[in-house]
Amino acid sequence: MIPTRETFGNIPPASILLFYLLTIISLAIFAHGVWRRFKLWRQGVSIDVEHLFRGGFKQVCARLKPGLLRLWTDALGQQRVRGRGLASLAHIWLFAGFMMLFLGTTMLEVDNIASWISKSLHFHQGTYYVIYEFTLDAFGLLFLAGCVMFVWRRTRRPPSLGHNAADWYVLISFLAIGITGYLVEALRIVWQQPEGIGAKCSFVGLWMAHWFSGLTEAGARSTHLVVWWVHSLLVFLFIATIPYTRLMHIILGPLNLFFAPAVLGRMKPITMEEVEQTERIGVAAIEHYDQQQLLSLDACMECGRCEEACPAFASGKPLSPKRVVQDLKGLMTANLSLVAPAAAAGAPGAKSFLRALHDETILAETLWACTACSACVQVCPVRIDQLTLITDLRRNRVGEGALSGTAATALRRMQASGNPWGLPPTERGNWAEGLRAPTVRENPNFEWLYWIGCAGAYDRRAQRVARAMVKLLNHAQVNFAILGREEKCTGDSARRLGEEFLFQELAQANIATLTKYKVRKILTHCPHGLNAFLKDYPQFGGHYEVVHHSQLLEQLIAAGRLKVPAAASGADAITYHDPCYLARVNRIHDAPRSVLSASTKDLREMGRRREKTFCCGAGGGRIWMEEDPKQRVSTLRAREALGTGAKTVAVSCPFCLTMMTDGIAAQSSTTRVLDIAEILADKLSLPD
Amino acid sequence: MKILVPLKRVPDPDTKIRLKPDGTGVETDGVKFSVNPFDAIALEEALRLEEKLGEMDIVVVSIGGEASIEQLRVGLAMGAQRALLIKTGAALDSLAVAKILAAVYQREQPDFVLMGKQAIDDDANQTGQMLAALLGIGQATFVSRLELVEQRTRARCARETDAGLESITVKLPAIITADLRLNEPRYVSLPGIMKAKKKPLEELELEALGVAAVARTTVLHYEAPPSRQAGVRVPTVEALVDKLKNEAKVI
Repeated sequence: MIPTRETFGNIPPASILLFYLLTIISLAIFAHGVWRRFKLWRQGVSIDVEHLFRGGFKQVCARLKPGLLRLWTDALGQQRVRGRGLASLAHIWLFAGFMMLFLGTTMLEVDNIASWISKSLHFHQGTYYVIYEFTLDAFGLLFLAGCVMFVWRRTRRPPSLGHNAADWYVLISFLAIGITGYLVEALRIVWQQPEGIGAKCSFVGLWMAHWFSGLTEAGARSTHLVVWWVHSLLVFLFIATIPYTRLMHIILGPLNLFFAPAVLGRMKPITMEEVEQTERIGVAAIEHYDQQQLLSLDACMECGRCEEACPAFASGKPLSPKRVVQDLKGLMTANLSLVAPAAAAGAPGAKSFLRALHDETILAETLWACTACSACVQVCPVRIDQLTLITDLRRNRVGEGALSGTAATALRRMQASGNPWGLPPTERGNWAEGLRAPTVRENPNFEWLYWIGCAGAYDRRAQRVARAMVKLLNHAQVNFAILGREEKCTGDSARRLGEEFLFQELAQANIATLTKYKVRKILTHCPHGLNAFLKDYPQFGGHYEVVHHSQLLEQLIAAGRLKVPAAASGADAITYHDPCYLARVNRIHDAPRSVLSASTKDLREMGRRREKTFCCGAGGGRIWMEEDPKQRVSTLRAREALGTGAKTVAVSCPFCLTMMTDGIAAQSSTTRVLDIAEILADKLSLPD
Repeated sequence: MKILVPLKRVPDPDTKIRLKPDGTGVETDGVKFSVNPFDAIALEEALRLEEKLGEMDIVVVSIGGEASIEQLRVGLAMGAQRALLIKTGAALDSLAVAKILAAVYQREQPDFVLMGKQAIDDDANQTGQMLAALLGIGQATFVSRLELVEQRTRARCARETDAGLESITVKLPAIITADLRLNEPRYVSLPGIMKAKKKPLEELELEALGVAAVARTTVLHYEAPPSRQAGVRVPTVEALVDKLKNEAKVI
């Protein structure tokens, strides 16, 4: 006998009819739930989805490819779900089980339709059947195991995890669906009495069938029908409630993964024409976000990873990326689902029910607490871009003149003097006094343009980094030049503070200067400058080969142009702090370590490192803001660095240098904070 | 409530000042101009009062050529409701400016005037005091904290003096001049200035105010301070004492 089982075996025709009727009803409720939210996202600024499908086949494929790849790795591959211990494992198991059961059920229906067309098309039998039953039974166990782990975790959930009563419903109903599924199988085995491999392939059902060995065939059949209905009704309830519970992420997670921007550290430019046309800058009301951004708000399932990764939250500031997303979602629901349509229909006074976005939903303290470190964006399993949600709001606040204080002063100075300290542009080259650091005019045939940046040029401490670097470059006989007083602030912190037009002014001035001197290769010790050249400037026509000084130093050591004496085994222990805009945003973390390991045999790592580094607190323009001493991000990071026991904390960013120096000084008087270039120059005994 | 805030057009504090070779004035070619920072602080304080107490009528006024419109626009972009330009090409001194502002005061009848304690170009620090005298009303100068009290009929101010902070209460209307630590003004962006173009900006010839602007003082000559000599590092305390005694002859 060929192993198989009859689809809808033991189910009377009336039940089958009712089954399909309920399928349609549950799908309709599901569709209505999705439509209800879709109507909200649609009110955002158009992302022109049709554009994806315009043009030839090849063009369309090229446009769809990145999104589809993200679906492959992040949705099916569950890449971004990893990294949270048991919870990640539970999700991957539940997901694998769910997907296999979903696929299995779909295949069952495909077979059902095929056999309905022609008996010869029936394929749910033989070897296929055996593999099918075995696989589904096995994955069903994974599914249940995942559910049980989640139930257990929810009883001891971390504070970052969102929770409501419906979450219990979801998990309990999943468990019930899984268990009743096995019971249906067991009871079917009792009345069908399959033999050999045809029975053994359904191993879980076969084992459970022993529980019902006392039943007669008729008894088994009637119990089977009842349990089958319970199972089916639970499934219909599940389908219908997807859009009304956290289960919505099954749909919106992949959808957001497909549409979300995927490059860290890149911001969307805005033009003056846009501002004139729309008469606004940035996001003043919830519907000024684009459609994908509104969709992403609904894709959030409050897993809380962003909140755990956020340095502002960790230091006690009133910012949690998860809260921002949830608050914006609440505003979207309140304003766009009821008030906006009512106002559009001309209901008198409807507008007075609109909740304000700024200062009511998102407070100024929240908005300005962000360091733009991108940790939240990086850890979000569905690629919600919390940072852009925030910077879009900042753009509006800056445009409306709502930014005051020291950050406002820094912006004014960038505009007037081309540097945030407001020091004379004519003194920008003073740091190099007494050093051989030719300007582009003095050495027009340079290979590398060494970009000094505002800190390197004006900040007394960071000047020492630039000086150490120049000595290393000369020692290795690198052909380089600097712009001297023609260099201006890159505008990085202006852009991340939301002052797009000042950034563009600075970027255009710098690009013009770089073009004038035919610069192609840029070297910089500043990760913020590096990110500006790599991600910001190409948007305005500035394309360069850019390296961080750690990368060039690594090359020079490898090529033997910097001969570092072997590190003594008793040498000082060093720990290295990864700058966000180097390690996380631009994925450069091996080079600085390789430079350091030339200087010490004892390189100690902090827990949060490389792409998962923890901010120093300076990014996103925070360096220009006053900080409550009790809420300093640098204090937390310094504590972590001191925890390694190293007496030298190495950095590779002038902002980190400032913040870590302050953070360490408050806790230890014997620990030094040095840039990797200083450590190397010292090792090579290059005189100052 | 109505607050009058005068804004002066001055060379940007972050640009390096160069003098004309003949010493008749400051080189203005290629120099960026700004709102006098103390005036910006005064306007910021007016805006903060508005944020705290509810809608107010904040009027910014500048005296000078068409170029001063740029500074008035900044004031409007910061949040002032209305701007007034008193047009004149004449060279003015503190008293002349105070007389013009007194005429503006009579025309606008504000509840009080909030202005910078001094302008950073000539650093005269006289206009506010002169204006109060001309109008015969009270004054609170060098204010670093401001609060309206007694149903907004008086201003309680902390004044920065050489001896420390002095707290006074002044009856309104009064002239209040802002010191550096009163606040840090908000940032004005390019789109903000563009949007502010829609706000009312009135231009008035000086003659129309009925004031004669006659400067009582004339500047004879400008010269740059001598450039600072490089310092000397002394090896010991004894050497320092010796230098102070015998070279500098200060002890």
